[in-house]
Order: sequence, then structure tokens, then C-alpha cells
Amino acid sequence: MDSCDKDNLLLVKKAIHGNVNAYGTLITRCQDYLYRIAFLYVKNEDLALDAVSECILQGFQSIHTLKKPEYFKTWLTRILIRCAVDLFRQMMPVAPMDTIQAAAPESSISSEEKWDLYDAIDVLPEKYRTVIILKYFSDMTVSEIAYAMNIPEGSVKAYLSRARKELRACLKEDYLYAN
Amino acid sequence: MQIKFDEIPVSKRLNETVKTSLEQIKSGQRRKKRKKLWIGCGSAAAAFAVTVLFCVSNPALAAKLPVIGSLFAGLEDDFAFAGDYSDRAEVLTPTETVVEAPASESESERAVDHAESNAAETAETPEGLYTVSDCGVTLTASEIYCDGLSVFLSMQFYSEEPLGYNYQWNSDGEIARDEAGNPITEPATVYLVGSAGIDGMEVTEFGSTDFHVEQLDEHHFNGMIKTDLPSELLGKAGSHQISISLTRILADFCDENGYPIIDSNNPGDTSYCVRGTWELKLPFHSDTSQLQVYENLDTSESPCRVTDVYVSPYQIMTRYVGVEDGPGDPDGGVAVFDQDGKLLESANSTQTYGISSHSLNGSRPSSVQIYLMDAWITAMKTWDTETAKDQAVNSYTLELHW
Repeated sequence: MDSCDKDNLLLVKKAIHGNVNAYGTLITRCQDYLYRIAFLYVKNEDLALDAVSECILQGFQSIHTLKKPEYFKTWLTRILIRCAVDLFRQMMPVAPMDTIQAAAPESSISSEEKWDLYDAIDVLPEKYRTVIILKYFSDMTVSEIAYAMNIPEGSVKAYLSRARKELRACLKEDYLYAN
Repeated sequence: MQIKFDEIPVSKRLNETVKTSLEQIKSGQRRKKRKKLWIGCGSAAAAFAVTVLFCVSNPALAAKLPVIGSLFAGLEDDFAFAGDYSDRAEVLTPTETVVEAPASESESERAVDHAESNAAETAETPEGLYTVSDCGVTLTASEIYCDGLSVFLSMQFYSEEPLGYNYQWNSDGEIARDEAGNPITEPATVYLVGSAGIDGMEVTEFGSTDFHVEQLDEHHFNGMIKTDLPSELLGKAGSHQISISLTRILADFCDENGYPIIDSNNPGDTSYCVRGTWELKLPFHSDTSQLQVYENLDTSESPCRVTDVYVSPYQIMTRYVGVEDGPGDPDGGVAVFDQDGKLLESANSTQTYGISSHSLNGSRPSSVQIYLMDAWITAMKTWDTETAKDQAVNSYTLELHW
């Protein structure tokens, strides 16, 4: 355990017991991360900020339910994703993300070279998008993703596999699997 | 396998958004450095909330201060409900004068010795009734005051087993040190678990208590407890008894290397846990001489309305009827502003349904604007009058008289 982890763990434990300052410190340490994750979901600055704000409020409200302090960031990511998804759905009431098909926007793409990773992720079904973001942007392990999404690890692996296939259709394979 | 994540530009408004969100939380929590407000009532259906604040004096002054009997004087300015309690309080356990210690003796040793001699003295007097000990932990009630809305109690906590400290860390991962090279410590985080009742009724369970205090030393804490009266006693003068019953005392702190001490055998993996029985029954008089009462404020048929407002020198308490989100699931919240549009901070983050308490923090507003929201979370997210006007289902203006 490095010193930063120790410090964070202590802050999380304080926050769990209602210490706003400790919670605030934790939030400010990961605010850029939270914003970027939110932005990946909603693709809009205002909505991403709203998602972060809502996440901060909801996080403090329910932090007493966090059983494992070491999972704070994962747990907060779960809340953030829920907030972002809710906001996104409010903006797209007719076409919930679950029903968006990954292949649907392809017709609007004139060239594969124009595909941007973020655009590709954006058209993935929600559950696939979530595992991709958590895996490749949050650097979470499969077990952490399972915790964040509240689904079995086997489902995470299956979603990852299918999500990669969807992405391959949009991206050069060596982009995602480089290195 | 990072994919350009760090290249996603961060909004220039993110800092402000985060700051605003945290301020909203703080407005519900009413936190300050060197003090801790504890929300002891987890259930929205509970009849009254218990708020505990432990706030201690400067350790360097510990040996110079009276130990018991005049704690309010050292606590009241930093209390979330700041005000003058010491002139109005009833002293439960008389002040003890500190005995001069030999110069070679450390402050810590002096404090411990003094506490021990003090405990021995009080045990032989009627005031000893207000001292309870179990499993190496002694609680001594010092002073008590009731403003007609809440009971304010000062207490001293003494643990035979030393509690450690927490440490500040530099951004480079090293323990922060002062100019003399000594580690900069922060207080252990202390939690109490138990319940409170008044006149044997309306017993409320305490939640986990987080004191977040600066310690007098490894053994001593002083603090204040705020217990709201049950609804039927609000604004009524009279003599009553408060009972405090604690079953667990817990704390989090670090070892000398700054590592959090985590004991998986303790609830919440806390560093320290003592299970025992600490029960105090304390008489008090509800003093309504300073209380302004505005009853039956809204007699309309509105399903969501403020019914009564009570104003003491320390707080504004609002009684309201909210909305039913579902059977047995009422919701509502209140935001209060002074004549200048300044938000009066809410006493707790949960706001027991039907009653909301806001600290005056020593101010004497000439008038207040009260906004009733249909959800607690809406009230919590309201920090200016414009937002309040947009969100409120009802609003009221009260001229106050001091």
C-alpha cells in the first residue's frame, strides 16, 4: 500500500462516517476522472458537468452504504455512470441507449478512417459501452467492473468480448489492441 | 491499455461545479474546522434527531483550562450552533481547578493525572452521578442547557487506552511536518453508538458518530451534544430528564508511521472499539424565555405547508407537512435565508421528516424567508434565493424580534 492509497483509505473511512471535508478531498482528487468518464457517456460539456454534480451529491448521500473503502472509486464510478445514463436518457427519451444498435450509424460514416474511438464507443449499447469505458479508460479489473455494474464477472467478460467485436467493426483492430 | 483518456479536455467549469456541489453538501452538514456535527438519527420517521459535536480546546492549553464544569465556554464559539451557552447553562459537575504540575511533567501526563483525581473526587459527590465508567472509558457530563427546542450537553470523554492520531500528508507522499520536524497530526475520528430519550419517550437511536476532533491528548476529548426535543415538547417550558445510553465507542487513527490501523474485528474495521454500557440520566429545564414562537403559520388546506416556526438565539426550527411520495413515504425539505439572502445552514443532512433545524450561528436576522420544497434533496441543492423561488412549493416571510 503506497502512501497515497493509505491517505485515500483514511479519507474514505472518514467520508463514510460523514466527514464532508474528507469526501471533498477525495472528490477533488478524482474530479478530472469523473468528468472524463461522464463526458464519454454524454458527449456534452454541460451534461457531463451535471452528471458530475449529481454524482457528488448522490455519492455523499449514500456513502454510508459503502462497505469496502478500497472500492471507493469504483463505487463512485457506478454512481456516476447511473447519473450520466439518466441524463442521457432525459435527452433522448425516444431512443433509449439500450435500443441503439452499434451498426446503425455506420451508414453515416463515409470512411473507416473517420471513425474515432469515442464515436465508436458512443454507439455501443449501454452495457457494452460501460464495460469498455471501465476497462480501457478507468483501468478497472474484471472483478472491479463486476462490482461497479453489479453483475457477475462472467457477464463482464462476455460483454467485453462482444463489445470488442462491435468496436472492431468500427475501428482498426490494431488501434484497440496496440501494444 | 489506456486509450487517450487523459486527452479528453476537462471543462474549465469543472472546478466551480465541484466546489458548488460540495458547498451544497456542507450547507446541509454545517461543518467547520475543529468541529464535527454528527447526525445521529438515520430514520426519516424518527421523531427527533440527535446531533453530536465534539470540539476540543487547543492541546497546548489543556492543562490550563478547567477540566469539567465550564466546558461550554471553550466550545460554544466553534459549535455548529454557536452562541452564548455558558451564561445560561446549568452546571452538572462543578468546575475543578487544575493543580499545578511539576515543570518536568508533560502536558499529557498532567491532563491524565488531573482527570484521574477529578474522577475520584466526583465519584464521592452527588455530581458523581453524572460520571459513568465502563471498560476503561469514562464519560462525564459537564453542563446542560435547553433553548425550548434542543438540549445542549457538554461532556468529557476519557479513555484509559490511548487513541492515536491521524496525520497530514504532503503531495509527495510524505508525512507533513512542522518547522521543528514534528509530524502534523489531526485528531482521531471518534464515533459513538447508542440512543437518547427524553422523559422516557421518543427514544432515538444514534448512528455511527464521527467526532472528527482535535484531541486534548491521547486520552481526552471534550464535546457538545445537541439533542432535539420530541415534537410534543417543542416550545414548551418545563423540567425534564434526558437519558443518554451508549453501547459502543469507536475511533479511527493511524500508527506512528501514518498507516491507518484497520482492525477487521471491529465494526467498520475501525482502529478502536470498546463495547460497554454508559448511561446518563440528566435533569434539565426547558428555557423558553428567549424563544420566538410562530404557531399555525399556514392554516390553508395546502397539502404541503409550514405549520410552525420556532426561533431561539441558536437556531430556527421549522415544522412542516410535506408530500406523500407513496404510502408512508413522505418527503419534504426547507431552505431558510436571512434578510440579506444568506442561506442559514441546515443542521443536518438528513433533515428528519417534518422538522428542519437551521443554525443562526450567532447572527440575529431581522427577518427570514422560508422556502418549503417537495423533496429533501431539492432543499439540500438550494443555495440561493432565486433557486429557492423556482423550486419552492410554498414560501413564508417572518419578521423576527430580538
